[in-house]
Amino acid sequence: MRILFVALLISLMAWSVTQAAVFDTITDLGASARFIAVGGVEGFSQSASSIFENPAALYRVDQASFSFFTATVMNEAKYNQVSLVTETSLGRFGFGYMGVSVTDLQHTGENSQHEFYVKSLFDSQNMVLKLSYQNSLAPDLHLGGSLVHYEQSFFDVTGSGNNADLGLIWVQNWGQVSFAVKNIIWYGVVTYGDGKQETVATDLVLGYGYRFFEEFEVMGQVMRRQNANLFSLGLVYSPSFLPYVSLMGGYREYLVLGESRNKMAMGLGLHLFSLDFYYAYEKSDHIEFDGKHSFSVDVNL
Amino acid sequence: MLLHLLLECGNDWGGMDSLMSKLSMTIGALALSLSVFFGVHVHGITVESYSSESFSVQNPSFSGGTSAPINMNGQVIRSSGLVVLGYNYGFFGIEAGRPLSSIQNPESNDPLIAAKVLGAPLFYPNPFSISSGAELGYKLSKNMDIEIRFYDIRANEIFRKTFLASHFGGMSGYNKVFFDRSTIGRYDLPAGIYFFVLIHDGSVLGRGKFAVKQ
Repeated sequence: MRILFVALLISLMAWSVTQAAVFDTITDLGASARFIAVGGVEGFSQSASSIFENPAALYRVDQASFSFFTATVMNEAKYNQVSLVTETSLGRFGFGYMGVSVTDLQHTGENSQHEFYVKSLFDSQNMVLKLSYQNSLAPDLHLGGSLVHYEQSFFDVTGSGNNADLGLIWVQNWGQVSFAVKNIIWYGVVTYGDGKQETVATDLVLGYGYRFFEEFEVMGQVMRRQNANLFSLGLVYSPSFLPYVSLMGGYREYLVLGESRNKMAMGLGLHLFSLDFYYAYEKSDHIEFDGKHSFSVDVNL
Repeated sequence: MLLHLLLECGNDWGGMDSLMSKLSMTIGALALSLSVFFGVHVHGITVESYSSESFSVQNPSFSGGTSAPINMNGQVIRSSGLVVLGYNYGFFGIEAGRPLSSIQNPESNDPLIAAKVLGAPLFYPNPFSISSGAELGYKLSKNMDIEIRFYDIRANEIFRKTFLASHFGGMSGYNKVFFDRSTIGRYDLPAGIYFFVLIHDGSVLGRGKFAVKQ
């Protein structure tokens, strides 16, 4: 069983994705501050936000979990994420919403002086909805899946599409292995009102995490996207002398229009009873905004 | 001036006893007639021609439109050694349109004038398809180096281009720069919202946003 599992992982990672993925999935930013702070390594969260990472990680939710995330990029793009997971006798069910909105975009015209002017203003909205289910095949093997709905609208443009995610987590004494296939439906598309389509990238994500000395958690990941292998590395330090605080750092590779780039991130976690507050800082390319700041709150019951 | 000369020679047509003189006048008249119906824009080293339905040559000292087919890129027109900068509707070096800012307005290069982007830079049309493209229009207070940068919705820089002072895109007055798939790169931009800034000497003088559709 385990040999078959490992063989499946290797063969899937060698799978070459040939479709040209175009649709902009907003979850690339990150669905929680913790995710951003650890370099975008998926599958090792303990809250409902795992819906947007590896749904199999929902096994770590005891009874229920609520997660909220917010970030404003360039003082213009407002990101929000809300997710909720509850445990039942049939497994764990979860629902997640993530969206980004930009307001006051200009619909323009050209005047008699051949200069441009603003005719009217419009807003834009891009969102992802996920409906997740998680169950454990064995004490050390956890399975999860999500139905995904994408939607984007601005001015007279509206596009939507559906897909699915699948995830596995394998827990051993030597660490945890996380594997997820996101947008598993081959040639999944987002279709716009005028009939035009954008394909959605299928991502293969393989991660590994290990906790040592009870204070350090190190995790690494390789993501296969558009024929590129993207690496991420994250570290969480939870000092024994400060049990309510955790420090996080991460390195992340990502694609921008097919070009591979990388950046570092750092973050801080504050843990009070059932509440976890996270803050993350990630460097920005923008000349006016040195970095991106994000916040998230997890309530784990 | 050429027309005046031709008219003068035409009045004296009967007095011309030189076949070459008559032939020269005939060719000149024919050339002038053809130029009325065919306009030529000089795009740097590329020459385009188009047919015009009707032309009215206006005094280039005041702005105004013509019924000529319009290519709204600011560009250098060279004709008979005359360098003309600014908006062009013109043909054969006759500028029929916006004043020639860097020649007729000596303040275009005045160092005492603050470098500013006047008004809001705007894309037209907006939203637009990346395959058909759009123009970014902005008004500069003086000739200046201008760098334009694009960012996606996650503040990732996706494009950067610099326009030099007194050249296309860096001229005093209203500039229009065309962007499409070939300008930005080989990848289609995903549909969505993007942001841009106009930078001069390390300072952001203008900013805005635009929407791309498929």
